[in-house]
Amino acid sequence: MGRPVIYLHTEQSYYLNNPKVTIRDICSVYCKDRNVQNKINGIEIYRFKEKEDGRAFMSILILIQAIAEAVPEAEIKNVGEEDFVIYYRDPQQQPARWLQRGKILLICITCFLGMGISIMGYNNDVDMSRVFAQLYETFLGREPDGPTFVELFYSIGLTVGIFLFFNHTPGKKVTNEPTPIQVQMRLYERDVNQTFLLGASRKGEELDADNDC
Amino acid sequence: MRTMIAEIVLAWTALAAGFATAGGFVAFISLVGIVPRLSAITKTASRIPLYETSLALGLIAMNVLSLYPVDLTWVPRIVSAALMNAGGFFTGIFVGCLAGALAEVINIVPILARRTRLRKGFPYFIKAAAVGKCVGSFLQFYIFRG
Repeated sequence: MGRPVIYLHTEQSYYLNNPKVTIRDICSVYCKDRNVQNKINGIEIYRFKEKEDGRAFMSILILIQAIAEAVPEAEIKNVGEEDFVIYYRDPQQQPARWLQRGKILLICITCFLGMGISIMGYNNDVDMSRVFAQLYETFLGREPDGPTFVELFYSIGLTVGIFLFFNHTPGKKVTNEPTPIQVQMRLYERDVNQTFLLGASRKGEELDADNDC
Repeated sequence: MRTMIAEIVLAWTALAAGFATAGGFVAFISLVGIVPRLSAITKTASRIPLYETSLALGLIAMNVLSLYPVDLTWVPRIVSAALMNAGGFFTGIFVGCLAGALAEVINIVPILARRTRLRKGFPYFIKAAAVGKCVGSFLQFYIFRG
């Protein structure tokens, strides 16, 4: 039997609720030999402080070092990320339910009013009412007195359009794709992780094989 | 008959205009990334669909309010005053986020930092910008109005 080959795959970030971090939590491991795989999965790599939220930056080398110590004859191949962040949240310190509800409500109000003022400003800015009055006169030959059905259809178009673009009507999804803001959220998360990792490796906070842990 | 055709064409045009505006607003609000930021701060990323619904409802309701002469003078004075003040506060938050996000989209601060070779003091720049915004809008609304 030759040298066992171990494949590692990590993601960019992990959210954990358990202060004890084993390889199983932060890395998928594959090895033909099940015993070796189980042994590797159980290796403890890091321990967060029990009572406070924290994060740790790691290089894949630290996993490779730990595995090489446990299974010296193995050959290790990494097929995932090279640096990653682990966030730890103390499960006992979750914010109160009403506080969370309150925050959600405040953001909802902000979104509602902010977007509302934006559209009012936009309508005023481009003088939507006058544009519609002009269109009305062009087509029907007389000036409208006040808003007409044109504004109504504009509002309908706006309603349909915005729900279509946001990909859901209240309470129900139109398709299975993520909504534009969810996509944006993922991009933002990725950027934050990358910024953390870059900053950590510049300051030397990253846990690496060299500065030993 | 001809009027009817004209009316249908007109209605269709208005519908398309609404569609285009909605598309523009969705693109804009997704691009500047206010909602992801707010939900990251409050750790409520799972509620993004709800926030989107709020955005949409706000857009729809206030659009109608701005195009049609809605009479709301029957609302008691105290209620409307409270609503306007609270509403102004939340709108201010939104616009403040918007201004910050727009400045970020075109990378003003990083570029400035590279040009001036400064590495420290960014928190102060941001605070200075915020205070400047506050003073500026105060001046515009209360001093320049005459």
